Amino acid sequence: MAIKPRIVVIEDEPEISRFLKTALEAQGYSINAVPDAKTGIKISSAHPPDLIILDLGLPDMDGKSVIKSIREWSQVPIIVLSARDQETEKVAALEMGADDYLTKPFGTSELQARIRVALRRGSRKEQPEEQKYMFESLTVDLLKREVFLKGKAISMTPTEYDLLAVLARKAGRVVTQSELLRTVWGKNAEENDHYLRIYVQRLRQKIGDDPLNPQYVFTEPGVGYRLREAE
Amino acid sequence: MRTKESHKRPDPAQLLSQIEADEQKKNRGKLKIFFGSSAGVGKTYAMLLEARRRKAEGIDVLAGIIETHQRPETKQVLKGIPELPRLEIDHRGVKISEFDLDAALKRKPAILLVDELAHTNALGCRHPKRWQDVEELLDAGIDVYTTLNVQHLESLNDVVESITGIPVRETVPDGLFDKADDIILVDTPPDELLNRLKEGKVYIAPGANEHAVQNFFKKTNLLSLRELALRRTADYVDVDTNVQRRREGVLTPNIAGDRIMVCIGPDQFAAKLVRTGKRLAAAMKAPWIAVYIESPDALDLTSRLRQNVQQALQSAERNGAEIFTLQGTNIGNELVEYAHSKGVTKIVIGKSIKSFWRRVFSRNLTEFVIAESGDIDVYVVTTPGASVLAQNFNRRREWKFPAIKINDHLFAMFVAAICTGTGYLLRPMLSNSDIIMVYLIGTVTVAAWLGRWPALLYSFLAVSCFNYFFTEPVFTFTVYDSSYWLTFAVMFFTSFVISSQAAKLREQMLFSRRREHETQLFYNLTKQLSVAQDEKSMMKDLENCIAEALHSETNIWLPDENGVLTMHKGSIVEDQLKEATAARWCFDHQESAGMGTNTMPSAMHFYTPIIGIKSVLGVLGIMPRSGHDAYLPDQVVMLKTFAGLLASALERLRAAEAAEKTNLLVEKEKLRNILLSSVSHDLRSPLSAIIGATDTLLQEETGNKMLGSIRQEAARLNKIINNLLDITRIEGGQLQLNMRPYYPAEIIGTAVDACRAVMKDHPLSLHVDENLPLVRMDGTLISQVIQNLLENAAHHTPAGTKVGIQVGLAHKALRMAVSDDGPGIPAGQEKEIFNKFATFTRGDKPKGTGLGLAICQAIVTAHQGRIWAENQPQGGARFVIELPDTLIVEEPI
Repeated sequence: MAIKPRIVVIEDEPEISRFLKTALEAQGYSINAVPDAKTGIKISSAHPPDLIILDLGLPDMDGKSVIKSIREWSQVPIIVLSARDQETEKVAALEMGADDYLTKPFGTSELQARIRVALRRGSRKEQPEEQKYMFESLTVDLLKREVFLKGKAISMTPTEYDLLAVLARKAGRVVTQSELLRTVWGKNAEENDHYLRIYVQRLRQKIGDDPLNPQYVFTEPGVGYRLREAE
Repeated sequence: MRTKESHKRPDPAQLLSQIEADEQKKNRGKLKIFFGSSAGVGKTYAMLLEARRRKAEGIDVLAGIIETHQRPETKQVLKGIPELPRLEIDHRGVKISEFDLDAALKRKPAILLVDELAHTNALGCRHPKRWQDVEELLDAGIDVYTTLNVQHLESLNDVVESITGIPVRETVPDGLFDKADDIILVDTPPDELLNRLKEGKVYIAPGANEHAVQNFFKKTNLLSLRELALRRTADYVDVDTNVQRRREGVLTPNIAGDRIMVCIGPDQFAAKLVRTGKRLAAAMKAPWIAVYIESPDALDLTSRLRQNVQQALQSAERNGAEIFTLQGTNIGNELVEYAHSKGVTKIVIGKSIKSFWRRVFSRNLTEFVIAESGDIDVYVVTTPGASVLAQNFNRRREWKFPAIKINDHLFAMFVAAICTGTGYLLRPMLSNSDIIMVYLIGTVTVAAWLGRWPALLYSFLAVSCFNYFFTEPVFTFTVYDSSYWLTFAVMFFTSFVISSQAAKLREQMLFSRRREHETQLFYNLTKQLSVAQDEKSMMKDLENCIAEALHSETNIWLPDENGVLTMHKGSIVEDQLKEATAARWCFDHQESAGMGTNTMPSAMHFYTPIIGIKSVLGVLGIMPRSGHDAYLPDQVVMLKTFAGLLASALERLRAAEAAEKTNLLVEKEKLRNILLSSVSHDLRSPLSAIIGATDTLLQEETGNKMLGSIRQEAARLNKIINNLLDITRIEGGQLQLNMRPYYPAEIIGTAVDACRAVMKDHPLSLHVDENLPLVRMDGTLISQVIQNLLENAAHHTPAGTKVGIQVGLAHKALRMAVSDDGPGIPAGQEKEIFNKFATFTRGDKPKGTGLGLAICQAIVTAHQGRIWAENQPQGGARFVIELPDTLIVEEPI
């Protein structure tokens, strides 16, 4: 039997902390719940966990500094929990290196999906990078730089492909607007939101995705885009 | 060279005033004057011809008032121009028809014809003069055509009188004439005019003095008047050219740097002096000052003289003079000093006529000014018929029976008796000349302490007693030695001189005491107003102060929330409507009105505006306690100071009140926000746990209905808490938009996705136009708006009801609509439902919090957009959001 993945939950609200512990332990994770950031960082550095769930509204430290101090020594996946009115902090946390976010209140299925994706990214560091993204009829071959829809190759401009590739490498996870702009168009393009919109639009058209009812590329208003988790 | 250059450069201040004047002109109506040398030259005819031409061009021309004088030619041209009905005024049983100013203002034509600018309105009209009506029309932006004869121009009034020998009472200020946008000179050669007169084509007022008419229409007169009219028109053109030149910086007027000062006293000269000053100033293009010299006995002036002075000063102000009031006992010195300090180069002063005695003992003011003015030129003005004026001058005080102070006179008699007694007792030791000395001591005492009349009485008694008791023959009033006559004369003379000087001193003392008293009043009022805690007590303080200082009743008008002026202090008088109208006019025009002024002079009060820093706060009116009278310039100045003090006090109070109110509001808001956010935070944490936990359980026990409803209700509760939190955030001004470009479809997609669970029983149809542009918006918030609307639709309509979303462009603006086939919105509540906590029931569903739509509205409004609700013709509600075209992003190609 595989070792249980260990998750550190840094959450000051006891109800949520208790619920997470119960729900996740039932799912077969080992949970270490702590009520404040300092203890969380200490525990994480002493026994590096497989995942950290971090609440953004901690009383002793703000989320960004916690992520920053963790990222100084570890690439452990971090999922942040945010309230609805913490939009900007959430985006900042993602920019600082958090892997994903969950807005309170969240359902269990959402939580499990996020944890799953994040853990996969965490475990990947020892394995060679995945070569292919596949969901339903869409296949992205990251080695050959080829895209197939229902088995047929689709021709794409380099920018369109780059965009899809960034999303595919982080499939299932949100990619912020500025990260997309930075990686695809370069450092100076971070302000040019409309490039991103226009190219996402073209990309959607090419892979037959309807923005009104998306199957692959999901818009996260104010944050960025998320490609559906691979099969 | 340099000096020339600097002369050419326009002074910035001057240019600025020119610009301001131009600005003012833009909104003001244009004035065109048809100007003639005398009656009968055809001004009205020329004006009507021009009006017809404008009418033919399609301009809205209205005849406000035209005197056709039953002449067929004039009547003929008037045809086709609509006429304003005249105002019928009933004046002591006589019906008078006048120009209806209010009707004209209401009708607001493009061009209004108003004949005879110099006309005097009947009592009961708003303004005493028609030219004032015209000013108001111009202010209201109406163009006015009018007619005017040269003899009615204020500055030429005296000249015309000297030419024709006929005084003209109806005058128009030159300022209005020079401000006119166009002057059309209507010129008819005298011979032709005389012919027309013979043919009866010149209108002569019925009942006019035949002789006067004959005198007026003499060829020499007509020639002179024509010359005057031509010259005045030339002056106007000159003024116009100068204005133009100044604008272009070609010429700086008044290179000589002249400055004229006109000295006005409380007498008949005032108006004439002002006219002279104005003429001189206009001719030299020099600035001028009108100085009013207040004398200690000004308070005793008759009301007619008071009005004279006030009107003369108003006329000077209208004609661009700076007004200054000088007071004190040493007027001559102060006048000359003031002239030097102001850089005056020319002084205009009247011949002051004094009583014989005063002329003997003191230098008259005019002579003093001439002697002391140094390098200043002095122009001395006389009026024809000085003797009449002198009479008027001497009669300028209302004749009052001198208040006899019985006690003083008794005391004078007593002193006379003492002196006589002392003299009689000491007679053996003293010669008669010594006894005269004793009497003289009495003279000095009485004259110095008791004043002129007791002193004269004493002198008479002393002389009589001396004569009776001491001169040979004793105990008779006969005198043998003629040298005693000299003694008597000396005694009278001494008592007169001493009492006069003492009286003068006392007057000065009284005068300075009055000043001191005034200063004290101002000081006290300022102190009282600064500590007053409410408006009522402020007004009370002011009322007391005015009662003391001006012996008047106070009347304070302040506007209420609707801008209606209401009287807050003072008593209701007989014709209260007139008072209200005068106060309103004063408030609107920020000028004095009512008694003694040119606007509604028949009102009982004199009104002055209470002018604050930014706006007029109200109107302060005063009415003399002793019946009708006019106020003197210095009293008006005092009243204005009072009004200023009240204004600053009111403003201070209001600012303090407003600050307190805001403070309270801020505190309240803060408290509410803290409460709400902590409550919602405390509620949300357990809710998150409940939702998470039920979710976990539901995964294991799918189909457990109890768990399902817990999950559903928890989600609903969560939504309510979120709404509460959102509205708190929005109202706390913490709603910050994160504006980014989005394709509308993306946002609709996220909203639809988020509402999937809520909408599971409502089939949704999406109609989003293709090729919609990128639109800048806060994606999260707009998505939330759509979600709220979808949830509302799901909530308020029965299961199975179709819900639709339509997105498209309407007039370049983005329109997003959420519609349903449900029961619709109760009629008449389409607007109300956006109010906070407005809830209504559609069907039997429970009420919501009433916050969802309020939040939607706040968000859309923050985007400068609109949101509205409507019932569709085919039934069902429709909520439409419109984001303005400014948010549309032009796509880069």
